[in-house]
Amino acid sequence: EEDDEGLGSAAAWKVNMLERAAALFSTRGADLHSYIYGTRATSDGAAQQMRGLSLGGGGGSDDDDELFRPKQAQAEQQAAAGGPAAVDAPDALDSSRVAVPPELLAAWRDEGAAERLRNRFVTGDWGEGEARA
Amino acid sequence: MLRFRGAQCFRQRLLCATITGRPIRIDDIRADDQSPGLRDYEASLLRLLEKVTNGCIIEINETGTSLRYKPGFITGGSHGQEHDCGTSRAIGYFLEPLALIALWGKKPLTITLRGITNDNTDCGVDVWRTVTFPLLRQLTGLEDGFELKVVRRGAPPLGGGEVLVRLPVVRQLPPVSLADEGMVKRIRGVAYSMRVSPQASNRMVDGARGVLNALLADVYIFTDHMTGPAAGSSPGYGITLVAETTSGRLIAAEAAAALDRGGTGTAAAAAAGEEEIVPEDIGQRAAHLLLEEVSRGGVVDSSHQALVLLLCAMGPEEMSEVRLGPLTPHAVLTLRHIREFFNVQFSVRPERESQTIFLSCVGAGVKNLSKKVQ
Repeated sequence: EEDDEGLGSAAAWKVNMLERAAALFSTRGADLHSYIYGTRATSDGAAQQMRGLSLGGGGGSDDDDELFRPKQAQAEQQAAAGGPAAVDAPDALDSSRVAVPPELLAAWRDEGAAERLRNRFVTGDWGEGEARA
Repeated sequence: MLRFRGAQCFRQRLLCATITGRPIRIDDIRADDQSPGLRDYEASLLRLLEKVTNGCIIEINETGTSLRYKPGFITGGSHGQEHDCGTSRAIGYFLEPLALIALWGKKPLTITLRGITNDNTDCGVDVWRTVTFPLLRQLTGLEDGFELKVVRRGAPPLGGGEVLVRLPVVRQLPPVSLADEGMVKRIRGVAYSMRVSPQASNRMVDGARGVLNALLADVYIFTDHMTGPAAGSSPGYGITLVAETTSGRLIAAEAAAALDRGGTGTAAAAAAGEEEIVPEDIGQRAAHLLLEEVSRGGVVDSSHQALVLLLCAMGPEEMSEVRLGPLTPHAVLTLRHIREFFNVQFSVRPERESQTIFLSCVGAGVKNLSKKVQ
């Protein structure tokens, strides 16, 4: 627990990061299934309550000059810390479009990057393309 | 009554509640925010729901942080319905829940929506016209009835766009079976511009072709330069690209110039707009986004995952199966809400070689009881 305090606001989004990544990139269906359905959408769960409390109690202790400081939303804190906004932040932006990270987009500028997709186009190897079906 | 917390997935909650007829309550909506409570676009969406349904009850507390919603009957109707979507979110934000709700109405819906037609946060009207409606046509089994006409275009921040939307009604949905991605055989697109030089469209086309022609010769992008009142209230330009595969799947990507710096757009969009203000860069960005979507795989692009999953869940009590690329956060949240409202749980089967996921479910068998029998 002490380590978490040392990391400050960055600690909040690092929690569960590894297992979340493992679930998303896992090839086993059970992992993905528990990632999707492990959390309930409704607010009856005790876990949700706990998270709400810790959110309220948290907050950086960087500047204590002001007695009252506005509470920042979790997403804003993470954006300030340079991390990606949490998927399941209670007030996450409601948009079906996914924000592609700039570095992922920049990778397509590289020479030969598009060529790796050749077999997904009809100009590529049809045998390779149909192997996916 | 189902209880939720926060502003996340606001539209899916209202959508599922309306279709299943279950009342919901949402608490702590932006309770920690500097300006707490519902945003103007969320209030606008609630007003739109009031227009297309009959007898719904919406209660909001004084600060706007709690909402109680008891859905009514979906009426639809074609008597000159119109809705001003405001300028905080694009028309696509409102159309996403509306298109699915209207399916279960008493009468087909015809409605005029005003506001922003294309931006960087929501699906633009060109994606709706060229990808979403063809997809809905196929998955609902209704060949005619879906129509979207862009009367005026509107860019952020002032909007001024206008679209006419027609949506049909269904009795029940057929099962979905989409597993074949196919190979990309041609790329089509629309490059639009308004209140800027007409050359902007051609320059965006050049930027996109520069990337895509290396892979495919069959790239044709229409240019759509709007003038006069049809150009809306703000200058803007952008491009929508659609890849069509041999199995008839459509994959879209779009990019729009963020000319309203420091406006309502997200921080990321504003930062991107800072450096990508040249039309060629917008075209190139859209082309790279399209390549990214194709490499993700799946039968639909990432922005349509939630829509397809919802249609599967509302389908008949038979097996429906779709193949998707890596799930977006929005799709994951949608899956969780589908379980709460429809009691439908998908079984997931990731495929290692192609990095795609097969999702299958037995639908909830939603039936439209209010549709008139001809």
